[in-house]
Amino acid sequence: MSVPDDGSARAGGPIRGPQSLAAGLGLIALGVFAVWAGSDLPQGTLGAMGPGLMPRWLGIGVAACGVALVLAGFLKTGEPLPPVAWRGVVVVMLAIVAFAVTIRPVPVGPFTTPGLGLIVAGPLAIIVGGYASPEARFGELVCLALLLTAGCMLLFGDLLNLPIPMFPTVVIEALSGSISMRLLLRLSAGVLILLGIGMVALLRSGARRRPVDVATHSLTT
Amino acid sequence: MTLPTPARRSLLLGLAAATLAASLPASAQAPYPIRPITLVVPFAAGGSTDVVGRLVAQKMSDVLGQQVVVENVVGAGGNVGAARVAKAEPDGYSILMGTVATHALNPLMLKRKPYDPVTDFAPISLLAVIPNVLVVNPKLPANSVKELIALLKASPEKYNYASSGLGTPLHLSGELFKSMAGVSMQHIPYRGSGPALNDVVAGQVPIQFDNLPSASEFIKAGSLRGLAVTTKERAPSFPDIPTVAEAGLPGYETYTWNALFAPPRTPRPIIDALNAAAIKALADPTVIERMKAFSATVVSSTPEQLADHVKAEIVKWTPVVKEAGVQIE
Amino acid sequence: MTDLLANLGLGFSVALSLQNLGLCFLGCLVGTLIGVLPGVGPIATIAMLLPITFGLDPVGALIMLAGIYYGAQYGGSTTAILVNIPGEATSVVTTLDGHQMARQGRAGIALGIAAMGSFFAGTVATLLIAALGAPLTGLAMVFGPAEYFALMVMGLVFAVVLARGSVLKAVAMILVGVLLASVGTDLETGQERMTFGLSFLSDGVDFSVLAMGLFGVAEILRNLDQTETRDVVRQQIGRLLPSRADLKQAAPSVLRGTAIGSILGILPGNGAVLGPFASYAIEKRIARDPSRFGRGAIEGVAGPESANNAGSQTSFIPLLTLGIPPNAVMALMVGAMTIHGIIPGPGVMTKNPNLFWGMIASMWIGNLMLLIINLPLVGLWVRLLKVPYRLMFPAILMFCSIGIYSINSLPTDVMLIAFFGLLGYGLIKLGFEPAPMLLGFVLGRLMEEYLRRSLTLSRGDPMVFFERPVTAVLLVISVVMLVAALTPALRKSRDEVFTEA
Repeated sequence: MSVPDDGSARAGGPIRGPQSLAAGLGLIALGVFAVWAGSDLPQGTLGAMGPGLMPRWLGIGVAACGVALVLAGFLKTGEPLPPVAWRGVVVVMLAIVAFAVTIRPVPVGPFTTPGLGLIVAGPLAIIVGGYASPEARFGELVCLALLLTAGCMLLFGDLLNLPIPMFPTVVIEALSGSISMRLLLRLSAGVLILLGIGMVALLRSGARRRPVDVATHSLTT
Repeated sequence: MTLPTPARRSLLLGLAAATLAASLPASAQAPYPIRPITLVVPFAAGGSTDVVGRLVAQKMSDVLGQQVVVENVVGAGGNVGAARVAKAEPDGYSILMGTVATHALNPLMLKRKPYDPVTDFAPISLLAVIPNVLVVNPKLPANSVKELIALLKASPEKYNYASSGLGTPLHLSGELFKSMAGVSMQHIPYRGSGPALNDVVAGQVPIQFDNLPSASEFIKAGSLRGLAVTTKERAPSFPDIPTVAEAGLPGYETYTWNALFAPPRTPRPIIDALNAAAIKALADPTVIERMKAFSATVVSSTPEQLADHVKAEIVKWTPVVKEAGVQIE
Repeated sequence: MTDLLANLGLGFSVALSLQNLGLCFLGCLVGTLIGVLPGVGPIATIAMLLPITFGLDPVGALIMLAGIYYGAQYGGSTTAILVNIPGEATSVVTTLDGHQMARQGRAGIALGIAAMGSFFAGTVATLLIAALGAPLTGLAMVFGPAEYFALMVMGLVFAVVLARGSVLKAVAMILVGVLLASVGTDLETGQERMTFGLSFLSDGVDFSVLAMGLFGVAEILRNLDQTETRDVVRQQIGRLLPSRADLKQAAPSVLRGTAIGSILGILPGNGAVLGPFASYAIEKRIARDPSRFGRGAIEGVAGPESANNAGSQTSFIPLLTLGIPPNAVMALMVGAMTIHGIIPGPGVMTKNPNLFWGMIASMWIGNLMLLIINLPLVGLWVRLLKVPYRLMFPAILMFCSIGIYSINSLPTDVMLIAFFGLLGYGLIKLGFEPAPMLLGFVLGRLMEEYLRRSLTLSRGDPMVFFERPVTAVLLVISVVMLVAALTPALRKSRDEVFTEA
């Protein structure tokens, strides 16, 4: 639903409600797209409705709502298009995708990403994601990443037993047999927690200017 | 996220103790298995395939000295899970709970085939055979397969039959019944056997093909009338219900089967270890008794027998699928 | 009556054994935990915990699994209120006013009233199951495909009612939701619809993925827009628990919500989903000032939360008395029973009275435990809101990613939450509300399925929707509600309908 936001720029002209106009155009585009995407599906009859019947009429309905909104955009003074905070959008998307491609091997075109497990994917998501806010501070995010990842490893892997890859596949293969996975999980979570607490202490002693409120987090994971 | 610490500790301890107890006889000297094995069940947790898988997995864990962990990988009528195992490392740590759907029906119906049921898997062992059953709402004036066929012939296109979904073994059992008996009835697919049973018990749809396990209690309670089972022999749990073949359609036979498969090119010693573990698990009295309780019969086999079985099933279902005209993208 | 007392006595004697009490507590605790974690659902958790129950007797195992189920339903509302992420379809409505209350510093009151309302609803629903469980199954039998279709239509009308702003935009969102629900393999023909050959779309879009994107991720993006105001709002924390006046205001909503939720929960065809929506729509309609709704009205939390919990209790009726699982979690319970050697069916009540009455008694005990577990936690949750947002949102992001991954082990699901997050953000910017879309999504799939099934059964005769009394009544109610929802908007000014956002 990406809509050209040129409406907001020329709000003085015949366009009185740029938001309605953009919303309407988006709906029309979506409706037309749906009708096109479902055009190869049989419509069927009332007694044996085909798979294409609902999508087509829904697409038409969506487009009709869009037309009404476009008309409203010309006829009635409405809200302008609000500004978009691109930094947040782009960085958050990046963080989620980073998590998705590192948690387990994912084929991307001819390549396959290495499966790195939660122990890498988790901190990656937190540290990358943290920069979506202009207030991000690296040290703080590292502490959060270490403690939260350790907490999540224990919570999801140990306590809830969910099948989430925890370690890089390479490590699992190298170590398999020599150590029980559960023990490895607990050991590494312990190491992460120690590192995290160390970082917190370091930050506290280093920066007296502003206390860092991380303690609540380590409790709440 | 937040539990009071003592509660959290006791929970941790409890769970840890439970898993520890299950994995105590670990650290076997044999090179395989040295870590938990994932048994991919390609259907939702709670269904009959899942139940068979879990019963067997639990006993196999005891035999192998490593946890056999059931993972439900659901999607596309079982294909997602099957395709995952077909492409997995042939190291014996991911194995599949295959069924008649994943290894005979789906490959025949699909336009785009995600795997080949014969070459993309290394067979391990058959596990269980589950009969299907033809049930009708008690108000339907048909007390036998013969009467049902007569009823359907008398008013063609009038009656509907329910199944647990398009392209399932139960749907195809119905289609096979239609073509062999020369009758017509409208297929009504449902999302699983529960909702279908509900509508048949309530009389919205008069006829259903179902797994015997899920229909059995309804037959016992009299809310459904079991006309015939679909296997060659009568089901031990319902000796009074005839087979479809005896009741008027000689040669009619369908059933759901479950079997273990490994990825292709899995080394023979691993296959043998898994086969031996499966056979031992199936010989366990509790497993036999639990399976019997829900009308499944324990059947073990050698890897070669399973390979032949898969080929035979494909041969058997090819004409049925063709005649039913079911095609899935 | 004496029968009932004797049966309940038997039930409590089973449920109050030390082991079963412990299992019930453990189940409620795990349930609350996974309910609070965004994305992690009861299905994955129960499936993974099943092996642990192998060593238990069937009654204890089922008591624990049931505890996980309703505990998760309960915990889900905490996340909905605190961070605006609905874990289940049933907690979508709770985000509307619950999260608004949290933004106004009234998170404690919202959580408290949700806990108390749920406990009351759970108590009533448990009594209802005990007293009328068996006769009520008759109701399940009255509902065929045509009735369910009418019910779903009614639900979609509720979606219009619960929208805050422009009716036109709400209708558009509902249609988009229904459209989105039709993506995936068609149930009746096996043809792929609008999947563009992408295999991860062939089973359609997962509810959790959509909800997490539209609500969770989009909410983060929106909050990143407004750095200044956000933390100020989060600093002020009012009362921790509801006051007398709050309780008085919420009590009638709790009663109504309980009644609605209980009735809809009995229907095996996913009726429980509708409970909270119906309750919200009714509260908003009969409120003296409907404009408070969507801006932190306590009735908008109390009613739907009660309906939700009542429904999650009474949805055990079809399972226990008929052996028919009304949803995926119940299907899993069927599997658990089978593994323990109990074959579910109409005979469970007479053949295994221990199990039947023991579970019912444990449900009430479990509800009490949930109250005891959750009320003290309210303070902690509220304090959690004090964490600076720059640290809070990366944490939410990670929990969402892990939670979504845990459902199907698919990295594509995780990427989809980014996509739907972007979509949700765009919708907010364009003045659309995501709630009607999510409701359209949930009900749309069911509606199409029931519509096509009833028309196939009637061989294409649409009269099927008018000849059957229940269907006809439900459709008439829908039309009346739709007209009632549209008229005030139309009366205000025809233009305003089109533009007001």
